[in-house]
Amino acid sequence: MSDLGAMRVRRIVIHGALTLLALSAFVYLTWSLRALIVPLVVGVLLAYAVTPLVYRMQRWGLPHGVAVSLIFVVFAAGLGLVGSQIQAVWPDHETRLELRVRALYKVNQRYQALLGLDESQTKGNTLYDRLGDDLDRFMWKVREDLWLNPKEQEAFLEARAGRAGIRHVSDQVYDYYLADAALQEKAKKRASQLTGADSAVPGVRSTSVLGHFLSRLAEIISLWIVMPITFLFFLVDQGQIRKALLAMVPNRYFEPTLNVLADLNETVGSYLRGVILECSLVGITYMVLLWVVGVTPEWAIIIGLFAGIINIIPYAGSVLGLSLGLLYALLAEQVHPLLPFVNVGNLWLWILAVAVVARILDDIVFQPMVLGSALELHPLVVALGIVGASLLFGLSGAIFAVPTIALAEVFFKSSMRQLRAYSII
Amino acid sequence: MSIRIDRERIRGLLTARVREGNEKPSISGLLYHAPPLRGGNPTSQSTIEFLAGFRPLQDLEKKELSLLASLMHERNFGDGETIFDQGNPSGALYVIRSGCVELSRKIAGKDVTIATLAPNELFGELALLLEEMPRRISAKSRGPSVLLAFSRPDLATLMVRSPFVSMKLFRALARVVALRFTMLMEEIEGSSQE
Repeated sequence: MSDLGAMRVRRIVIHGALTLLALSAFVYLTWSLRALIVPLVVGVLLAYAVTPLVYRMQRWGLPHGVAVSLIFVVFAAGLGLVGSQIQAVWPDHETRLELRVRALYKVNQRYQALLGLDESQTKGNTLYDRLGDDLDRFMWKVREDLWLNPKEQEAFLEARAGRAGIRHVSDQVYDYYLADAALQEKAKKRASQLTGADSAVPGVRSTSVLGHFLSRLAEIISLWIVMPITFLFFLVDQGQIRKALLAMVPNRYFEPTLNVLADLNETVGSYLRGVILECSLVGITYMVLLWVVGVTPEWAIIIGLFAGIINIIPYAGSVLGLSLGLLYALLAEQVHPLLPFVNVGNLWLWILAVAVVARILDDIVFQPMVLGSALELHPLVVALGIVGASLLFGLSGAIFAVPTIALAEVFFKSSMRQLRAYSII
Repeated sequence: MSIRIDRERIRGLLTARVREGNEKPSISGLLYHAPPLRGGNPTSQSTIEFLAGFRPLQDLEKKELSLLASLMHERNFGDGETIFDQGNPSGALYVIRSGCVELSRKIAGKDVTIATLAPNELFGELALLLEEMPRRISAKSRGPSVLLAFSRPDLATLMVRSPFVSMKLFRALARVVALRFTMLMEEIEGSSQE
């Protein structure tokens, strides 16, 4: 073999080995840091969505640095405001216990009313005669989750006794507690009849579920620190990242790559701006309508906020908005609706109406208006994509399923078109 | 709008260019030559400094050139490497920073060289003006060359980021196209007189 040939082989081997090494390192790092992917992607997408605003501010004569700083300050202030709003209504430990006592009382009350149960909790209407055993089994599970374990009961009673002369638990909630406790005894007997000897110890599961939830929350918050950092990093970038990536593309593929990137850019841009606008509109619809039917403004804002954000996953906004609304209707002691015919008893019906109206508005007005032709995917593809991706990657899969499918479609079509146009294939 | 034509100057520019390139003068070949420009050693300059010395962009201020430079891509081509082929979609214009570029056109199945461009010249500018027009010529690097590419998507970004700079760029492009058109008219006039 000539020297030149040997050199070529050496070059191929070294290049191949280095590429393989870099690829394995990339796969390993991506897999180990996969929890960071969602906050990272959200940061990038947010930066992407507000970049046109930076350009607009630059056109007004503001230097890039000032525009970025301003946007970041507004972004941080917005996050802070939302955080403080949530923190303000987020119940502390004692309030959470109270809420559970109230929830259990209301659930029991509605259950009894629905099935026409008597004092002994063993005789009811026809529905109870037919499905009583199954319903009771289900209700026992619900009660088990809601009812306080002995430690929590102790904490609740301590709060009731009060500190420094101030009672932290109202008489009404204490009455609920007593009613819950009495009913829980009866339910326990009934449950042991239904499930055999001893059923689970009430309350144990609920604590672990709550503890788990809190530790998850802390985990999520620490992971999401990455998001604003990525956001700022990509906001500061003025196309250098794209340029550096394009510099690696061989000359033959340079122009086709530019065109494919432009197509992807347009898809991501219009999808992102569309989705942000759509989610905001859905959120605002929930906020306004819930307030109109009598939900207190702070809870209307919070439910609207969550329903709007989760609406990134098609239909999930409706499910969450409705669930949170119904939960509110269950716990509400009184309502102050703008509509005269809404009361505590029929609030759940009005919440249902709100969810239906929001859904219809989203389908008929918001989506066609803001998404337009940005996303022409068959509903079946959307549904299968979301289910499949959520099975594989959980919540992040469900959130990113639709844009990923849309992007993959554009990437494939555009690449094929460009490669053919440039006679590469 | 009337364009004043300095016939002597254009004729001088054209013949000087043809002499340098040792090429047979041809109308289509002359069309691809922008007016010769003087500059230092292009490879030792930053892109902004290079663009500052690039005559079609003489109206742009340093800040505006820096924005334009941030959107341009520096591409290195080897000897004989294709920059684009005739019939390809047209995606970008190129400015030669260093090296030479040979432009050719398939005529009756044969590649005919129509011009060889030197540093400080630009080609492929129709890519920014006519979206659906395929390339009418092929471009190859003669010897190693460094080109600055500016694509349609880059132009779209420039239009969003600074309509004012893009207006200046359009004016520069219009000037290049107008000059080429004038040269063509001159050449047709000259050959009909002969």
